[in-house]
Amino acid sequence: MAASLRSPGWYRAAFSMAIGWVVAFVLVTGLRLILGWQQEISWESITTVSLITVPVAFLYGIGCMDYWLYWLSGKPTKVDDHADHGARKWQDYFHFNTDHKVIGIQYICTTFFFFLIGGMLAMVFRAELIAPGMQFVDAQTFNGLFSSHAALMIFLFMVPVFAGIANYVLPLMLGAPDMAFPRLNALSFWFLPIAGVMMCLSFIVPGGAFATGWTAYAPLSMNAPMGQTFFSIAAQFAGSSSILTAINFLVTIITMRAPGMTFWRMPLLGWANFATSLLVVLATPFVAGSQFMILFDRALGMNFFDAAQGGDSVMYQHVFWFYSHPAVYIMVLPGFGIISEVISTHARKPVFGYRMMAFSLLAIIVLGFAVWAHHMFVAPMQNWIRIPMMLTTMLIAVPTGVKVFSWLGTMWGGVIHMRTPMYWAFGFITMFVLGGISGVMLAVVPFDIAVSDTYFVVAHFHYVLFGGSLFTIFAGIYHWFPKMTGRMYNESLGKWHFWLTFISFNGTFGPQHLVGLEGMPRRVADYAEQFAAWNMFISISSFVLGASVLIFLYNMIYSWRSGPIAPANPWHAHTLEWQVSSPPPMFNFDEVPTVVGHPYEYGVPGARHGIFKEPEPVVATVGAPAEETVAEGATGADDTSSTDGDA
Amino acid sequence: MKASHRIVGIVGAILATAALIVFTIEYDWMGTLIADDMEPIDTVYRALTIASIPFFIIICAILAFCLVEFRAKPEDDDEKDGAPFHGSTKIEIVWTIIPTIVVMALGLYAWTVLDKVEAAQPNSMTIKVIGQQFAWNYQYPEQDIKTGGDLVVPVNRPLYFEMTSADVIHSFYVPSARVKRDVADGFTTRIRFEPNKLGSYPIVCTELCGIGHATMRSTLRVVTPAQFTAWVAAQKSAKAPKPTGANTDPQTWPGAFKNSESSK
Ligand code: HEM
Ligand SMILES: [Cu+2]
Ligand SMILES: [Cu+2]
Repeated sequence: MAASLRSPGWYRAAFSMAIGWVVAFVLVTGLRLILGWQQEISWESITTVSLITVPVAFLYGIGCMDYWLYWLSGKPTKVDDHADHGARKWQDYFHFNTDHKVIGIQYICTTFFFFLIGGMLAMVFRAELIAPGMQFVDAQTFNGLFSSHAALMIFLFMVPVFAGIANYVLPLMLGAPDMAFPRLNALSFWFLPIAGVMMCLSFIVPGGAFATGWTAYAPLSMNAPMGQTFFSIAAQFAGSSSILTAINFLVTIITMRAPGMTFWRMPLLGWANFATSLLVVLATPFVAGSQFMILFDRALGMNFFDAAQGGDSVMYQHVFWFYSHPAVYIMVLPGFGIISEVISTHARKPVFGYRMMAFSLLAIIVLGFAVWAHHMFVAPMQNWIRIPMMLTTMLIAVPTGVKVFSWLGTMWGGVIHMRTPMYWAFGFITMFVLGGISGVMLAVVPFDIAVSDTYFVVAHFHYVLFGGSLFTIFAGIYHWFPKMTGRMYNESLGKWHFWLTFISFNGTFGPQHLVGLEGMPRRVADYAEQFAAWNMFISISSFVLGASVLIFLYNMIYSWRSGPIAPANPWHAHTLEWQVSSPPPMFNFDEVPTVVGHPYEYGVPGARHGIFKEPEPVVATVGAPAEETVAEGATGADDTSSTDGDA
Repeated sequence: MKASHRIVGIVGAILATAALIVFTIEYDWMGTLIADDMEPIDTVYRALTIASIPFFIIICAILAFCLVEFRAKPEDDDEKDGAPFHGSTKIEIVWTIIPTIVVMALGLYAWTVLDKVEAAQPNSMTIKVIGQQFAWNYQYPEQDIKTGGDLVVPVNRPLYFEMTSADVIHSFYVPSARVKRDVADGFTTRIRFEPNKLGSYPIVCTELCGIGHATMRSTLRVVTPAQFTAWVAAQKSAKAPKPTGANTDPQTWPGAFKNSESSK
């Protein structure tokens, strides 16, 4: 027991979390005693402080800080024997690990776990909305349900799942042995379960879950029950996670590309994550700031947003949207990258207008910082801001359109293999275009004034986020499933998953445009009789949509355990991740590849993207049994040369 | 693909576009409109939709064409590649410039509409709107009336609303007049419209404001000038509903942090 308390792991984590809570208790109660306040024990203050101390203690316990603490305290740092690198058994996925492939899987599974929770919350409130009046839950619970649905989907799923996919795939694509800062990478992952669990725990505190929407507008959130504090602090952990990962991606992309891989020879997923990471490091501090201000208002009475005390509640919205508009691009740009990979691979065509694809990403991130107030057209801000914001918002449609047309151009003249990822790519293009169209409509101020904060907006962002981003995630998961697991998924289940999702998605969110236009407000537990028929239809479609996820889960779990063994390069793609075994060896490349050409030169005679100096011994060729190469990778564990990038 | 198939496809796409455009023009999307001067908003919506339809149809048609024409044949082996072209600067310029022109034109058009629907009208009647958890209160300075009941207004008289909130942010939304604006403590927001149709129409709150948000509704009653005068007189005789009190019941927000702090 004592030994297991000393070495990193779950026992030490549990023990140090208990200590962390005691620290919070002593700190708060001690302070109150010293200050002579009558009510010495304030459970609410103790909880607030412990929401910071307990997670930090957890991070220490699980082992995220051991190396740094040794170093800080002047002790000799442990020689890195790569004991915490790579997974040999499934339990390894539940421990601190610095291998980007393990972290990638940890990310993806964790984010999908919260995706399922968020989805189930949606099932509950869609059941409530099946008819006017109140059915199953009270209004406060309803508000808590949709708020945590949105918060989980955005902060615990959409943003980090892309970081997870890129974590796995990107170093392989770049020809790098790992991310630039493996320990930082692990730390960013472990922030996530903290944020997610904290949001879920808010359901059991007095007053219920945070119920002010994922936007947490002041002044409503200032006086809301304690669940709100859980949101404010969880958002800090989720935000820190994305900032640290983004820094890691930036450094990895800038410094760790294989020899010969110039920026203009980098696969578009690399470009997409480069652009996204820039957005994240520039924008995420703003949401952190906004939530800190809420927290200070709540805990310390700072009056940032209390008009009676000279505060300004519209300032909150400016700060919040200055992050949260770029955030919607954080949630879709990596998906653009995935779709470019998927389409060029399965259509066997060079990406149409590769450079414009990269430039349009950069144009989107630049413009993306100049449009935030389109979320505030009906807020009490100066009227004149609405016009420039309308025009910049409409302009964003141009680079976005360039990408859509270029995907069509990529397919044109190809040899299109309709495998499951390609189904999702087709679904993505059509649904995302619809979401983009309603986006441009919402940018038009006089129309937005009519439909802002109605179900029309709900329809818009589900078309771009579900039909857009989530479809790219599914495309990416199916596309790289063989690489990540070494097994093939089941094609016909994949197609069933697609069709069921595609149809019920449209059944769920299509009619929301109509009820929104007719004036049904969003975020309501109850609604007027005139919307009853459509809402019944929407709710039933949404249950089918929920059920379609089960097909996906079954396919993933079943195929991971007993799908057919995947070859190294099932799609005959050119990018580097497909040139190593499935799954790749522990340090990715036994031989550092040299990049000699563009990544998508399908049909160009004799074109190569990457070459290995000695092709015969290490590189798994097409059809090589995966087990053999896995074993080979595992024996490479004593190779210490390749991952000494210290965080 | 056979030439006849292509023709069927193209004709189908054109027919679909035409049908959708006709449908867009004919369909009653946003329900009754009681303010003639807000008509341009419905027109903007239709214009945007009509501009989007060909765009969407073309994309779908190209996707369908690719799917039929360029799909791998069963006899193709997995490594057969498509034609190796990398792009075309000319096409890329075209599909950058044309959408830019289209969205900017739509934007400028929308700007003129916005100016039109928000232009101040002479002879407006001012009404003050105060949102509070979870009710709407109205004050008529001209008539010197305060009410927590229906919003009663005379037909064909331009209305001018000055709005604020007693607590959190709400949003004053009259779907049948296509207007809404948030109300917030510390700010005065303004909207206007002129009701031209007699009848009762819903008013709803569209900014999440707490537990009673969904049912924070009110009714707009557009009446004849004579009825309005009568209503004003009845209000003055003080039998009508008074402004509802703010929901200050602390049980609504149990455990609010500041309350416990100040209870020391
Ligand atoms: C052509 C591109 C787009 C345009 C012009 C656009 C425009 C807008 C506008 C004007 C709003 C505010 C509507 C209102 O609240 O009244 C909005 C809301 C929203 N958009 Fe978009 N959008 C675009 C693409 C996207 C994308 C790609 C995403 C995410 C992947 C996205 C996610 C959202 C979300 C989540 C909201 C609602 C936020 C909230 O109030 O909770 N949009 N969009
Ligand atoms: Cu936005
Ligand atoms: Cu409300």
